Amino acid sequence: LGSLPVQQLGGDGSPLGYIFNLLYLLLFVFFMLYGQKVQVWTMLREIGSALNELKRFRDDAQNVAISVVKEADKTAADPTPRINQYLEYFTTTPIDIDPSGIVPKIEHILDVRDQRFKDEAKLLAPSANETQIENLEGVLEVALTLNYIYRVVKHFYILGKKMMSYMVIMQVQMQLPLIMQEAKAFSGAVRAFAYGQPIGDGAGALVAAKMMQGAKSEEIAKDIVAAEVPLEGRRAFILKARGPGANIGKYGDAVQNIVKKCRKKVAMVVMIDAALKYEGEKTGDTAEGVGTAIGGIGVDRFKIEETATKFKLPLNAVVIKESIAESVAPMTKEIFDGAQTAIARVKRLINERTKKDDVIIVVGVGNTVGIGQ
Amino acid sequence: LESDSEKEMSSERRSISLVLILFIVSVLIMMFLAAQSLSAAYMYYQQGRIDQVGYYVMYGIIGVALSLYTVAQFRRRGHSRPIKEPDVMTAAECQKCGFKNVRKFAKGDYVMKTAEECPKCKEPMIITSIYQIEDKTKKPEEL
Repeated sequence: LGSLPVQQLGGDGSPLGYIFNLLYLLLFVFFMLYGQKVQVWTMLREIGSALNELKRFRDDAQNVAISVVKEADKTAADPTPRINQYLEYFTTTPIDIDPSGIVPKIEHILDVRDQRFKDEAKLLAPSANETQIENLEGVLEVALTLNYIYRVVKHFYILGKKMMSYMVIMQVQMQLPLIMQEAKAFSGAVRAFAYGQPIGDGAGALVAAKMMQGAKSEEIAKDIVAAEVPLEGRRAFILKARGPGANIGKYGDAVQNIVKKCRKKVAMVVMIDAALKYEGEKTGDTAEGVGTAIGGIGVDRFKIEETATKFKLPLNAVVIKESIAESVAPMTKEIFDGAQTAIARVKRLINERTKKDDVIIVVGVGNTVGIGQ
Repeated sequence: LESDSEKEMSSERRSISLVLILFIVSVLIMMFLAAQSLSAAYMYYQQGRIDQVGYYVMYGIIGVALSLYTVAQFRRRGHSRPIKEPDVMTAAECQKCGFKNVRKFAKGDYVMKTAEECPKCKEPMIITSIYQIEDKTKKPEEL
Protein backbone atom coordinates (compact mmCIF):
# COMPACT_ATOMS: atom_id res chain seq x y z
CA LEU A 1 0.00 0.00 0.00
CA GLY A 2 1.39 3.35 -0.96
CA SER A 3 1.95 6.05 1.56
CA LEU A 4 -0.66 8.36 0.00
CA PRO A 5 -3.79 6.34 0.82
CA VAL A 6 -2.37 5.49 4.24
CA GLN A 7 -1.92 9.14 5.00
CA GLN A 8 -5.33 10.01 3.65
CA LEU A 9 -7.31 7.21 5.20
CA GLY A 10 -6.36 6.81 8.84
CA GLY A 11 -2.61 7.15 8.63
CA ASP A 12 -1.92 5.45 11.96
CA GLY A 13 -0.44 2.21 10.56
CA SER A 14 -2.95 0.09 12.54
CA PRO A 15 -4.45 -3.15 11.01
CA LEU A 16 -7.87 -1.50 10.80
CA GLY A 17 -6.40 1.39 8.84
CA TYR A 18 -4.79 -1.06 6.41
CA ILE A 19 -8.10 -2.91 5.97
CA PHE A 20 -9.87 0.33 5.11
CA ASN A 21 -7.18 1.31 2.66
CA LEU A 22 -7.31 -2.09 1.01
CA LEU A 23 -11.11 -1.95 0.78
CA TYR A 24 -10.90 1.52 -0.71
CA LEU A 25 -8.53 0.38 -3.43
CA LEU A 26 -10.45 -2.81 -4.16
CA LEU A 27 -13.72 -0.92 -4.42
CA PHE A 28 -12.10 1.61 -6.74
CA VAL A 29 -10.85 -1.13 -9.08
CA PHE A 30 -14.09 -3.12 -8.80
CA PHE A 31 -16.33 -0.20 -9.75
CA MET A 32 -13.97 0.83 -12.51
CA LEU A 33 -14.20 -2.62 -14.11
CA TYR A 34 -17.67 -3.78 -13.11
CA GLY A 35 -19.55 -0.53 -12.36
CA GLN A 36 -22.00 -0.92 -15.24
CA LYS A 37 -22.58 -4.59 -14.44
CA VAL A 38 -23.48 -3.69 -10.87
CA GLN A 39 -25.99 -1.19 -12.25
CA VAL A 40 -27.40 -3.88 -14.56
CA TRP A 41 -27.72 -6.36 -11.66
CA THR A 42 -29.47 -3.77 -9.53
CA MET A 43 -31.92 -2.95 -12.33
CA LEU A 44 -32.51 -6.64 -13.07
CA ARG A 45 -33.28 -7.23 -9.42
CA GLU A 46 -35.78 -4.38 -9.46
CA ILE A 47 -37.43 -5.69 -12.65
CA GLY A 48 -37.41 -9.23 -11.20
CA SER A 49 -39.33 -8.22 -8.09
CA ALA A 50 -41.78 -6.19 -10.23
CA LEU A 51 -42.22 -9.26 -12.41
CA ASN A 52 -43.11 -11.37 -9.37
CA GLU A 53 -45.70 -8.76 -8.44
CA LEU A 54 -47.10 -8.78 -11.99
CA LYS A 55 -47.32 -12.58 -11.91
CA ARG A 56 -49.21 -12.34 -8.63
CA PHE A 57 -51.68 -9.88 -10.18
CA ARG A 58 -52.12 -12.12 -13.24
CA ASP A 59 -52.63 -15.28 -11.15
CA ASP A 60 -55.10 -13.49 -8.89
CA ALA A 61 -57.13 -12.31 -11.90
CA GLN A 62 -57.06 -15.83 -13.32
CA ASN A 63 -58.30 -17.29 -10.00
CA VAL A 64 -61.07 -14.70 -9.77
CA ALA A 65 -62.15 -15.55 -13.35
CA ILE A 66 -62.28 -19.26 -12.43
CA SER A 67 -64.36 -18.56 -9.32
CA VAL A 68 -66.73 -16.29 -11.29
CA VAL A 69 -67.31 -19.06 -13.86
CA LYS A 70 -67.88 -21.65 -11.13
CA GLU A 71 -70.31 -19.37 -9.34
CA ALA A 72 -72.22 -18.40 -12.49
CA ASP A 73 -72.58 -21.98 -13.68
CA LYS A 74 -72.20 -24.64 -11.03
CA THR A 75 -72.55 -27.42 -13.60
CA ALA A 76 -69.74 -26.06 -15.82
CA ALA A 77 -66.67 -28.22 -16.41
CA ASP A 78 -63.27 -27.13 -15.07
CA PRO A 79 -62.78 -23.76 -16.82
CA THR A 80 -59.01 -23.47 -16.13
CA PRO A 81 -57.66 -24.72 -19.50
CA ARG A 82 -60.14 -22.59 -21.46
CA ILE A 83 -59.38 -19.50 -19.37
CA ASN A 84 -55.64 -20.07 -19.88
CA GLN A 85 -56.29 -20.25 -23.61
CA TYR A 86 -58.38 -17.07 -23.43
CA LEU A 87 -55.58 -15.16 -21.70
CA GLU A 88 -53.39 -15.54 -24.77
CA TYR A 89 -55.93 -14.11 -27.24
CA PHE A 90 -54.77 -11.30 -29.47
CA THR A 91 -56.29 -8.88 -31.96
CA THR A 92 -54.48 -7.50 -34.97
CA THR A 93 -55.34 -4.07 -36.28
CA PRO A 94 -55.92 -3.52 -40.03
CA ILE A 95 -53.05 -2.49 -42.25
CA ASP A 96 -52.75 1.30 -42.34
CA ILE A 97 -50.30 1.97 -45.19
CA ASP A 98 -53.36 3.15 -47.17
CA PRO A 99 -55.39 4.74 -44.36
CA SER A 100 -58.42 5.65 -46.48
CA GLY A 101 -61.45 3.68 -45.27
CA ILE A 102 -59.67 2.17 -42.29
CA VAL A 103 -62.39 3.00 -39.73
CA PRO A 104 -64.97 0.47 -41.04
CA LYS A 105 -62.21 -2.15 -41.09
CA ILE A 106 -61.31 -1.42 -37.46
CA GLU A 107 -64.99 -1.49 -36.55
CA HIS A 108 -65.41 -4.86 -38.23
CA ILE A 109 -62.46 -6.35 -36.39
CA LEU A 110 -63.69 -4.94 -33.08
CA ASP A 111 -67.18 -6.38 -33.72
CA VAL A 112 -65.71 -9.80 -34.47
CA ARG A 113 -63.55 -9.59 -31.33
CA ASP A 114 -66.50 -8.53 -29.22
CA GLN A 115 -68.66 -11.37 -30.49
CA ARG A 116 -65.86 -13.89 -30.08
CA PHE A 117 -65.26 -12.83 -26.47
CA LYS A 118 -68.97 -12.98 -25.71
CA ASP A 119 -69.20 -16.47 -27.22
CA GLU A 120 -66.19 -17.61 -25.22
CA ALA A 121 -67.75 -16.34 -22.01
CA LYS A 122 -70.99 -18.15 -22.89
CA LEU A 123 -69.07 -21.35 -23.57
CA LEU A 124 -67.37 -21.09 -20.19
CA ALA A 125 -70.64 -20.65 -18.30
CA PRO A 126 -73.54 -21.79 -20.53
CA SER A 127 -76.29 -21.33 -17.95
CA ALA A 128 -75.18 -17.90 -16.73
CA ASN A 129 -77.51 -14.94 -17.31
CA GLU A 130 -76.74 -11.96 -19.57
CA THR A 131 -75.40 -9.74 -16.77
CA GLN A 132 -73.16 -12.53 -15.44
CA ILE A 133 -71.81 -13.15 -18.94
CA GLU A 134 -71.04 -9.44 -19.42
CA ASN A 135 -69.32 -9.21 -16.05
CA LEU A 136 -67.34 -12.39 -16.75
CA GLU A 137 -66.25 -10.82 -20.02
CA GLY A 138 -65.01 -7.82 -18.03
CA VAL A 139 -63.04 -10.05 -15.65
CA LEU A 140 -61.51 -11.96 -18.55
CA GLU A 141 -60.56 -8.74 -20.36
CA VAL A 142 -58.76 -7.49 -17.25
CA ALA A 143 -57.02 -10.86 -16.77
CA LEU A 144 -55.98 -10.79 -20.44
CA THR A 145 -54.52 -7.29 -20.03
CA LEU A 146 -52.61 -8.27 -16.88
CA ASN A 147 -51.28 -11.38 -18.61
CA TYR A 148 -50.15 -9.26 -21.56
CA ILE A 149 -48.30 -6.78 -19.32
CA TYR A 150 -46.66 -9.69 -17.48
CA ARG A 151 -45.57 -11.36 -20.73
CA VAL A 152 -44.08 -8.19 -22.20
CA VAL A 153 -42.10 -7.32 -19.05
CA LYS A 154 -40.94 -10.94 -18.71
CA HIS A 155 -39.81 -10.92 -22.35
CA PHE A 156 -37.60 -7.86 -21.88
CA TYR A 157 -36.36 -9.11 -18.49
CA ILE A 158 -35.18 -12.42 -19.94
CA LEU A 159 -33.87 -10.79 -23.12
CA GLY A 160 -31.93 -8.21 -21.11
CA LYS A 161 -30.55 -10.92 -18.87
CA LYS A 162 -29.44 -13.08 -21.77
CA MET A 163 -27.76 -10.19 -23.56
CA MET A 164 -26.75 -8.37 -20.37
CA SER A 165 -27.69 -5.32 -22.39
CA TYR A 166 -27.72 -2.10 -20.41
CA MET A 167 -29.96 -0.40 -23.01
CA VAL A 168 -32.67 -3.09 -23.04
CA ILE A 169 -32.78 -3.36 -19.24
CA MET A 170 -32.69 0.38 -18.68
CA GLN A 171 -35.68 0.96 -20.97
CA VAL A 172 -37.83 -1.45 -18.96
CA GLN A 173 -36.56 -0.19 -15.61
CA MET A 174 -37.33 3.43 -16.50
CA GLN A 175 -40.89 2.61 -17.53
CA LEU A 176 -41.48 0.30 -14.57
CA PRO A 177 -43.25 2.84 -12.29
CA LEU A 178 -45.85 3.58 -14.98
CA ILE A 179 -46.25 -0.09 -15.87
CA MET A 180 -46.76 -1.04 -12.22
CA GLN A 181 -49.23 1.79 -11.68
CA GLU A 182 -51.33 0.54 -14.58
CA ALA A 183 -51.06 -3.10 -13.49
CA LYS A 184 -52.12 -2.22 -9.92
CA ALA A 185 -55.11 -0.34 -11.30
CA PHE A 186 -56.19 -3.31 -13.42
CA SER A 187 -55.66 -5.67 -10.51
CA GLY A 188 -58.13 -3.57 -8.50
CA ALA A 189 -60.65 -3.78 -11.34
CA VAL A 190 -60.89 -7.59 -11.35
CA ARG A 191 -63.11 -7.82 -8.28
CA ALA A 192 -65.22 -4.82 -9.28
CA PHE A 193 -66.18 -6.68 -12.48
CA ALA A 194 -66.58 -9.98 -10.65
CA TYR A 195 -69.04 -8.49 -8.14
CA GLY A 196 -70.71 -6.13 -10.61
CA GLN A 197 -69.70 -2.93 -8.79
CA PRO A 198 -69.72 0.41 -10.64
CA ILE A 199 -66.22 1.58 -11.63
CA GLY A 200 -64.86 5.10 -12.03
CA ASP A 201 -65.07 4.88 -15.82
CA GLY A 202 -68.85 4.56 -15.48
CA ALA A 203 -69.24 8.18 -14.28
CA GLY A 204 -70.80 9.24 -17.62
CA ALA A 205 -73.16 6.26 -17.62
CA LEU A 206 -74.17 7.13 -14.05
CA VAL A 207 -75.06 10.68 -15.08
CA ALA A 208 -77.23 9.30 -17.90
CA ALA A 209 -78.85 6.72 -15.58
CA LYS A 210 -79.78 9.45 -13.10
CA MET A 211 -81.14 11.68 -15.87
CA MET A 212 -83.29 8.92 -17.36
CA GLN A 213 -84.52 7.62 -13.99
CA GLY A 214 -88.16 6.54 -14.19
CA ALA A 215 -88.39 6.96 -17.98
CA LYS A 216 -88.98 4.08 -20.37
CA SER A 217 -85.84 3.13 -22.25
CA GLU A 218 -85.32 1.10 -25.41
CA GLU A 219 -82.31 -0.33 -27.22
CA ILE A 220 -81.48 1.87 -30.23
CA ALA A 221 -78.07 0.50 -31.18
CA LYS A 222 -75.98 -2.49 -30.10
CA ASP A 223 -75.88 -2.46 -26.27
CA ILE A 224 -77.09 1.17 -26.10
CA VAL A 225 -80.38 2.21 -24.54
CA ALA A 226 -82.10 5.56 -24.99
CA ALA A 227 -84.88 7.27 -23.06
CA GLU A 228 -86.81 10.32 -24.20
CA VAL A 229 -87.30 12.68 -21.27
CA PRO A 230 -88.48 16.29 -20.87
CA LEU A 231 -85.50 18.35 -19.71
CA GLU A 232 -85.63 22.09 -18.93
CA GLY A 233 -88.53 22.47 -21.41
CA ARG A 234 -86.63 20.62 -24.17
CA ARG A 235 -86.97 17.11 -25.55
CA ALA A 236 -83.88 15.15 -24.53
CA PHE A 237 -82.71 11.74 -25.66
CA ILE A 238 -80.56 10.29 -22.91
CA LEU A 239 -78.19 7.55 -24.04
CA LYS A 240 -76.16 5.06 -22.06
CA ALA A 241 -74.80 1.55 -22.44
CA ARG A 242 -77.22 -1.18 -21.37
CA GLY A 243 -76.61 -2.05 -17.71
CA PRO A 244 -76.07 -3.39 -15.18
CA GLY A 245 -73.64 -5.75 -16.94
CA ALA A 246 -70.18 -4.61 -18.04
CA ASN A 247 -71.09 -3.00 -21.35
CA ILE A 248 -69.71 -0.17 -23.44
CA GLY A 249 -71.95 -0.24 -26.51
CA LYS A 250 -71.85 1.53 -29.86
CA TYR A 251 -72.47 5.20 -29.14
CA GLY A 252 -71.62 6.22 -32.70
CA ASP A 253 -74.46 4.17 -34.17
CA ALA A 254 -76.84 5.33 -31.44
CA VAL A 255 -76.20 9.05 -32.11
CA GLN A 256 -76.49 8.46 -35.89
CA ASN A 257 -79.82 6.66 -35.41
CA ILE A 258 -81.34 9.43 -33.28
CA VAL A 259 -80.13 12.19 -35.60
CA LYS A 260 -81.57 10.31 -38.59
CA LYS A 261 -84.83 9.81 -36.71
CA CYS A 262 -85.15 13.50 -35.74
CA ARG A 263 -83.60 14.87 -38.95
CA LYS A 264 -82.61 18.53 -38.50
CA LYS A 265 -84.41 19.09 -35.20
CA VAL A 266 -81.42 18.16 -33.00
CA ALA A 267 -80.00 21.39 -31.55
CA MET A 268 -77.10 20.03 -29.54
CA VAL A 269 -75.20 16.89 -28.49
CA VAL A 270 -73.78 16.80 -24.96
CA MET A 271 -71.36 14.04 -24.05
CA ILE A 272 -70.43 13.19 -20.46
CA ASP A 273 -67.43 11.00 -19.73
CA ALA A 274 -64.74 10.31 -17.16
CA ALA A 275 -61.45 11.99 -18.02
CA LEU A 276 -57.94 11.44 -16.72
CA LYS A 277 -56.96 14.13 -14.26
CA TYR A 278 -53.49 15.59 -14.01
CA GLU A 279 -51.53 15.03 -10.82
CA GLY A 280 -52.54 17.60 -8.24
CA GLU A 281 -56.12 17.90 -9.52
CA LYS A 282 -59.05 16.80 -7.39
CA THR A 283 -60.98 13.61 -8.14
CA GLY A 284 -64.61 14.29 -9.02
CA ASP A 285 -64.00 17.82 -10.32
CA THR A 286 -65.88 18.56 -13.52
CA ALA A 287 -64.81 20.48 -16.60
CA GLU A 288 -66.59 21.61 -19.75
CA GLY A 289 -65.48 21.87 -23.33
CA VAL A 290 -66.38 21.28 -26.93
CA GLY A 291 -65.85 18.16 -29.02
CA THR A 292 -66.45 14.49 -28.43
CA ALA A 293 -65.77 13.16 -24.95
CA ILE A 294 -65.24 9.48 -25.65
CA GLY A 295 -62.25 7.17 -25.42
CA GLY A 296 -61.56 3.87 -27.12
CA ILE A 297 -59.90 3.16 -30.41
CA GLY A 298 -61.83 5.94 -32.21
CA VAL A 299 -64.66 4.30 -34.17
CA ASP A 300 -67.48 5.86 -32.12
CA ARG A 301 -65.71 9.20 -32.03
CA PHE A 302 -65.33 9.12 -35.81
CA LYS A 303 -69.01 8.35 -36.33
CA ILE A 304 -70.24 11.01 -33.91
CA GLU A 305 -67.95 13.64 -35.42
CA GLU A 306 -69.04 12.66 -38.92
CA THR A 307 -72.74 12.95 -38.01
CA ALA A 308 -72.19 16.24 -36.18
CA THR A 309 -70.31 17.71 -39.15
CA LYS A 310 -72.92 16.53 -41.64
CA PHE A 311 -75.83 18.08 -39.70
CA LYS A 312 -73.79 21.02 -38.27
CA LEU A 313 -74.55 19.92 -34.71
CA PRO A 314 -72.72 21.62 -31.86
CA LEU A 315 -70.80 19.04 -29.81
CA ASN A 316 -70.39 19.86 -26.14
CA ALA A 317 -68.65 17.83 -23.48
CA VAL A 318 -68.64 17.60 -19.69
CA VAL A 319 -65.95 15.48 -18.05
CA ILE A 320 -65.52 14.14 -14.54
CA LYS A 321 -61.87 13.99 -13.52
CA GLU A 322 -60.23 10.91 -12.04
CA SER A 323 -56.93 9.03 -12.08
CA ILE A 324 -56.24 5.92 -14.14
CA ALA A 325 -56.40 3.77 -10.99
CA GLU A 326 -59.76 5.29 -10.01
CA SER A 327 -61.15 4.75 -13.51
CA VAL A 328 -61.01 0.97 -13.16
CA ALA A 329 -61.47 0.63 -9.38
CA PRO A 330 -64.89 0.62 -7.65
CA MET A 331 -66.33 4.12 -7.91
CA THR A 332 -65.44 6.53 -5.12
CA LYS A 333 -67.78 8.90 -3.29
CA GLU A 334 -66.02 11.89 -4.92
CA ILE A 335 -66.86 10.56 -8.40
CA PHE A 336 -70.48 10.00 -7.38
CA ASP A 337 -70.65 13.59 -6.16
CA GLY A 338 -68.93 14.67 -9.37
CA ALA A 339 -71.71 12.98 -11.36
CA GLN A 340 -74.26 15.12 -9.52
CA THR A 341 -72.32 18.27 -10.38
CA ALA A 342 -72.09 17.12 -14.01
CA ILE A 343 -75.91 16.86 -14.19
CA ALA A 344 -76.21 20.47 -13.01
CA ARG A 345 -73.64 21.56 -15.62
CA VAL A 346 -75.48 19.72 -18.40
CA LYS A 347 -78.74 21.44 -17.42
CA ARG A 348 -77.05 24.84 -17.33
CA LEU A 349 -75.46 24.19 -20.71
CA ILE A 350 -78.82 23.24 -22.21
CA ASN A 351 -80.48 26.35 -20.77
CA GLU A 352 -77.77 28.65 -22.04
CA ARG A 353 -77.21 27.19 -25.50
CA THR A 354 -80.61 25.91 -26.69
CA LYS A 355 -84.17 27.12 -26.98
CA LYS A 356 -87.41 25.70 -25.60
CA ASP A 357 -88.76 22.66 -27.52
CA ASP A 358 -85.36 21.91 -29.05
CA VAL A 359 -84.20 18.32 -29.29
CA ILE A 360 -81.06 17.51 -27.30
CA ILE A 361 -78.96 14.34 -27.27
CA VAL A 362 -77.23 13.59 -23.97
CA VAL A 363 -74.67 10.76 -24.16
CA GLY A 364 -73.43 9.20 -20.92
CA VAL A 365 -70.22 7.47 -21.98
CA GLY A 366 -68.47 4.72 -20.02
CA ASN A 367 -68.54 1.15 -18.84
CA THR A 368 -71.91 0.61 -17.24
CA VAL A 369 -70.99 -2.27 -14.92
CA GLY A 370 -73.16 -2.04 -11.79
CA ILE A 371 -75.32 0.75 -13.24
CA GLY A 372 -78.82 -0.03 -14.43
CA GLN A 373 -81.34 2.26 -16.10
CA LEU B 1 -49.41 -20.87 -18.31
CA GLU B 2 -46.27 -22.38 -16.80
CA SER B 3 -43.59 -22.18 -19.46
CA ASP B 4 -39.90 -23.01 -19.76
CA SER B 5 -38.96 -19.45 -19.00
CA GLU B 6 -40.97 -19.60 -15.77
CA LYS B 7 -39.14 -22.78 -14.76
CA GLU B 8 -35.95 -20.92 -15.54
CA MET B 9 -37.14 -18.16 -13.25
CA SER B 10 -37.84 -20.60 -10.40
CA SER B 11 -34.33 -22.10 -10.70
CA GLU B 12 -33.12 -18.54 -10.64
CA ARG B 13 -34.92 -18.05 -7.34
CA ARG B 14 -32.80 -20.91 -5.89
CA SER B 15 -29.64 -19.08 -6.91
CA ILE B 16 -31.08 -16.01 -5.21
CA SER B 17 -30.76 -17.83 -1.85
CA LEU B 18 -26.98 -18.04 -2.44
CA VAL B 19 -26.95 -14.34 -3.20
CA LEU B 20 -28.93 -13.80 0.01
CA ILE B 21 -26.26 -15.63 2.07
CA LEU B 22 -23.51 -13.58 0.44
CA PHE B 23 -25.54 -10.45 1.09
CA ILE B 24 -25.98 -11.28 4.79
CA VAL B 25 -22.26 -12.09 5.17
CA SER B 26 -21.21 -8.82 3.52
CA VAL B 27 -23.63 -6.80 5.66
CA LEU B 28 -22.26 -8.50 8.79
CA ILE B 29 -18.68 -7.75 7.73
CA MET B 30 -19.66 -4.14 7.05
CA MET B 31 -21.29 -3.87 10.49
CA PHE B 32 -18.26 -5.46 12.16
CA LEU B 33 -15.85 -3.05 10.47
CA ALA B 34 -18.08 -0.11 11.34
CA ALA B 35 -18.14 -1.15 15.00
CA GLN B 36 -14.36 -1.61 14.98
CA SER B 37 -13.96 1.79 13.39
CA LEU B 38 -16.13 3.49 16.03
CA SER B 39 -14.25 1.74 18.82
CA ALA B 40 -10.91 2.86 17.27
CA ALA B 41 -12.29 6.40 17.11
CA TYR B 42 -13.07 6.24 20.81
CA MET B 43 -9.59 4.92 21.56
CA TYR B 44 -7.90 7.73 19.61
CA TYR B 45 -10.15 10.24 21.29
CA GLN B 46 -8.91 9.08 24.68
CA GLN B 47 -5.33 9.35 23.40
CA GLY B 48 -6.05 12.89 22.21
CA ARG B 49 -5.33 12.10 18.52
CA ILE B 50 -8.17 14.15 17.13
CA ASP B 51 -6.92 13.87 13.49
CA GLN B 52 -7.58 10.11 13.54
CA VAL B 53 -10.92 10.39 15.41
CA GLY B 54 -12.55 12.22 12.50
CA TYR B 55 -11.64 9.52 9.98
CA TYR B 56 -12.78 6.62 12.10
CA VAL B 57 -16.05 8.27 13.17
CA MET B 58 -16.77 8.97 9.52
CA TYR B 59 -16.10 5.33 8.49
CA GLY B 60 -18.13 4.05 11.40
CA ILE B 61 -21.18 6.19 10.68
CA ILE B 62 -21.02 5.49 6.94
CA GLY B 63 -20.70 1.75 7.60
CA VAL B 64 -23.66 1.62 10.03
CA ALA B 65 -25.86 3.81 7.83
CA LEU B 66 -25.03 1.82 4.70
CA SER B 67 -25.75 -1.53 6.41
CA LEU B 68 -29.07 -0.35 7.78
CA TYR B 69 -30.07 1.20 4.46
CA THR B 70 -29.15 -1.98 2.55
CA VAL B 71 -31.14 -4.20 4.95
CA ALA B 72 -34.14 -1.84 4.79
CA GLN B 73 -34.04 -1.81 0.98
CA PHE B 74 -33.81 -5.60 0.84
CA ARG B 75 -36.74 -6.05 3.21
CA ARG B 76 -38.90 -3.53 1.36
CA ARG B 77 -38.36 -5.23 -2.00
CA GLY B 78 -38.93 -8.73 -0.71
CA HIS B 79 -42.20 -7.84 0.99
CA SER B 80 -45.29 -8.14 -1.19
CA ARG B 81 -48.56 -6.88 0.19
CA PRO B 82 -51.66 -9.04 -0.18
CA ILE B 83 -54.28 -7.83 -2.67
CA LYS B 84 -56.86 -6.12 -0.49
CA GLU B 85 -60.51 -5.77 -1.40
CA PRO B 86 -61.89 -2.27 -0.82
CA ASP B 87 -64.94 -1.74 1.39
CA VAL B 88 -67.87 -0.95 -0.88
CA MET B 89 -71.13 0.55 0.38
CA THR B 90 -74.61 0.61 -1.14
CA ALA B 91 -76.98 3.53 -0.52
CA ALA B 92 -80.69 2.88 -1.07
CA GLU B 93 -83.17 5.76 -0.95
CA CYS B 94 -86.91 5.90 -0.58
CA GLN B 95 -88.36 8.04 -3.38
CA LYS B 96 -91.42 8.84 -1.27
CA CYS B 97 -90.15 9.88 2.17
CA GLY B 98 -86.44 10.39 1.39
CA PHE B 99 -85.24 7.80 3.93
CA LYS B 100 -81.67 6.69 3.13
CA ASN B 101 -80.16 3.37 4.12
CA VAL B 102 -76.40 2.89 3.72
CA ARG B 103 -75.20 -0.69 4.06
CA LYS B 104 -72.41 -2.98 2.87
CA PHE B 105 -72.52 -3.91 -0.81
CA ALA B 106 -74.21 -7.24 -1.49
CA LYS B 107 -73.76 -9.26 -4.68
CA GLY B 108 -76.54 -8.41 -7.12
CA ASP B 109 -76.75 -4.75 -6.09
CA TYR B 110 -76.62 -2.18 -8.86
CA VAL B 111 -77.44 1.50 -9.21
CA MET B 112 -81.14 2.06 -10.08
CA LYS B 113 -82.13 -1.37 -8.80
CA THR B 114 -85.35 -1.61 -6.79
CA ALA B 115 -84.10 -2.67 -3.38
CA GLU B 116 -85.57 -3.55 0.01
CA GLU B 117 -88.71 -1.91 1.46
CA CYS B 118 -88.47 1.42 3.22
CA PRO B 119 -88.83 0.76 6.97
CA LYS B 120 -90.81 4.00 7.36
CA CYS B 121 -93.39 4.00 4.56
CA LYS B 122 -93.04 0.40 3.26
CA GLU B 123 -92.40 1.61 -0.31
CA PRO B 124 -89.62 -0.15 -2.27
CA MET B 125 -86.40 1.85 -2.16
CA ILE B 126 -84.03 2.45 -5.10
CA ILE B 127 -80.26 1.99 -4.97
CA THR B 128 -78.92 5.44 -5.77
CA SER B 129 -75.21 4.93 -5.23
CA ILE B 130 -72.56 2.26 -4.78
CA TYR B 131 -69.15 3.57 -3.75
CA GLN B 132 -65.97 2.43 -2.09
CA ILE B 133 -64.80 3.83 1.21
CA GLU B 134 -61.22 4.98 1.03
CA ASP B 135 -58.82 3.58 3.61
CA LYS B 136 -57.73 6.71 5.50
CA THR B 137 -54.85 4.82 7.17
CA LYS B 138 -53.40 3.89 3.77
CA LYS B 139 -50.13 5.55 2.88
CA PRO B 140 -49.76 7.03 -0.60
CA GLU B 141 -48.75 4.40 -3.17
CA GLU B 142 -45.02 4.07 -3.72
CA LEU B 143 -44.07 3.90 -7.36
